Amino acid sequence: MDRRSFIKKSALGAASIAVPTILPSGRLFAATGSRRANHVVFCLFSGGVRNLESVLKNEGNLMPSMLKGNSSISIDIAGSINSMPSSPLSKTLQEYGTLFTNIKFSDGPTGHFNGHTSALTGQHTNSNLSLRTNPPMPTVFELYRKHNSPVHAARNAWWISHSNNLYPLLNHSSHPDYGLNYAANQIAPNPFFGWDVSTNLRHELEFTDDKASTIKDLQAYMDSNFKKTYSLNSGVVNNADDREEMVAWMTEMQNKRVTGQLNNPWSIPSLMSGDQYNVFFTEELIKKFQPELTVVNLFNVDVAHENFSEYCNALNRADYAVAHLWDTIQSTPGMKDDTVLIIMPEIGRNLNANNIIDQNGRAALDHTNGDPMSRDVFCMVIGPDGVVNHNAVNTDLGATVDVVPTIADILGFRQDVDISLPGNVLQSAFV
Amino acid sequence: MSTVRFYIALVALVFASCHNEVVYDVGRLEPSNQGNKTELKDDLQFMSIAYRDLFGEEVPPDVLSTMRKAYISFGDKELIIDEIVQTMLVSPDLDLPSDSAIAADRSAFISDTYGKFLLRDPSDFESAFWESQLIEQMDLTAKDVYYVFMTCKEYKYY
Repeated sequence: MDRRSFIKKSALGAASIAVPTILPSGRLFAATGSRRANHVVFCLFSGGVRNLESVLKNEGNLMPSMLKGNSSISIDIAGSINSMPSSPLSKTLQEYGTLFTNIKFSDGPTGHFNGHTSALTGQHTNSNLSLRTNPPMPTVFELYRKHNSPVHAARNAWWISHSNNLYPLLNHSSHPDYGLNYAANQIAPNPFFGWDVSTNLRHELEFTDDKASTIKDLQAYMDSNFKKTYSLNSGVVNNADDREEMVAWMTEMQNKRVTGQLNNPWSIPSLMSGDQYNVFFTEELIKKFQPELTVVNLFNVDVAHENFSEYCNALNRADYAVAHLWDTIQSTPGMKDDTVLIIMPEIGRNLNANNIIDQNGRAALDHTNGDPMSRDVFCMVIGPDGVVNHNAVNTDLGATVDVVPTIADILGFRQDVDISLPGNVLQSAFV
Repeated sequence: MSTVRFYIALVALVFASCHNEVVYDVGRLEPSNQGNKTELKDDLQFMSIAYRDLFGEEVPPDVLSTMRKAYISFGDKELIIDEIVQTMLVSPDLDLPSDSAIAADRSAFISDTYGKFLLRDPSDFESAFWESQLIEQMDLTAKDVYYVFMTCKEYKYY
């Protein structure tokens, strides 16, 4: 080793001992709490689901992959329920964790966006919540990213929304201490991997190493000549390596779409629903990136506004999708036995029906009057044996705002969050 | 040393050390032609203008709808803008200057490109820079140059 090299290495060594690492988040160290698991998947079983049709099984067990019991489906609607393949799991999801049957969406209008916002921020909302802007309080994605080390980059937090209408806004808040710098990656895969986008929008300019370097230099030259402050809303920011992986994954999905490989990949006899495709793409994303925090929402049950029987059918399809998701998590290296899955509707639906009658003579259900039935939901916390209490039912009063502190607790950053969260950790779910 | 001699020596020293060196400077060649762009294009404007700049016609509604759908369905907007720009540039309908046409009149290609995308003439410095790049980087195509212009900061403003 020559003298100069030695001095350089010595100096580096000394510096590494003397100077603690300051993280880009401004924190000196990573999250201080211990983790219960390294991955959380939160399935917002959304669209408005009443406890009557779910955990109370008023129409029979419409969710046989998730809930114990084999009560038969009401005869008048049974013909409207599409048959699903057998559950890929050896027992019901309920038996892999704890079922909470008394969870309240306690405050705010019983609308989808309020329900989603409450579930994703852990804060109560009111009628002033804007549908055009990001929510004012930080989302669970921002809390996770700010209060963890920089290795927990955007690729580790995903918000997979059923539609690209309104819901993409929930990947970050407008809170001055959080915001875009801590946003999740957001994707609405159903429109994004739709036929029109997949066949027309392609990442096809492939620059070789030398050419890529030249292009980068030229871009830097052009930007150096433009002195204006760069204040674009460029969305979530990924680093170059992660972007490259995302482009590769997107291209793979697009290729599968145009070559017909995404035509009913689960082989559902009556074809896959939008919810099932959303979960399918979530599984593909999980297999590719093994994110630490994934939130996916479903939405098809909202057909209940105009068709009660189809609502029950959508519940049955969503039930199969969630079981499929857990099965995929358990066969994904890095996620298996190290993931907690939380399942919860964002709101319920009204007790009283509206006046729209379906093919089976059943009246449809809205969710807008804020009655107790529209505020009652269930929650399931599923996880590895030894981490999560298995086959347990909890009837204590809880709240939809409990999910955010529960996720923070699982991922070890609950004590680092310095803003007030009104909810409590769903402690009884854990061993 | 007497006080008078000391002050004379001090003044001489100050003059000697502070004497300005004569520099025959050509002036700083700092391009400042930003085309007076002050407003950021919004997403739809960006896509519409990019299409018009490349294809010379208004973007068809179905094409705009597809681009917009992709844009609002993915959180990393820069990545999607990049994909949209790439998609346009690889379109078989796009009429791009050939390598030989560029080589035949690099200066005209550079001026045309600045006019097409940045709505201004290049400064002398910019012309000289790009001309040297086109000579040195033999494999630079019109597609590459257009890509650089369409992904630069100035192009995001109008």
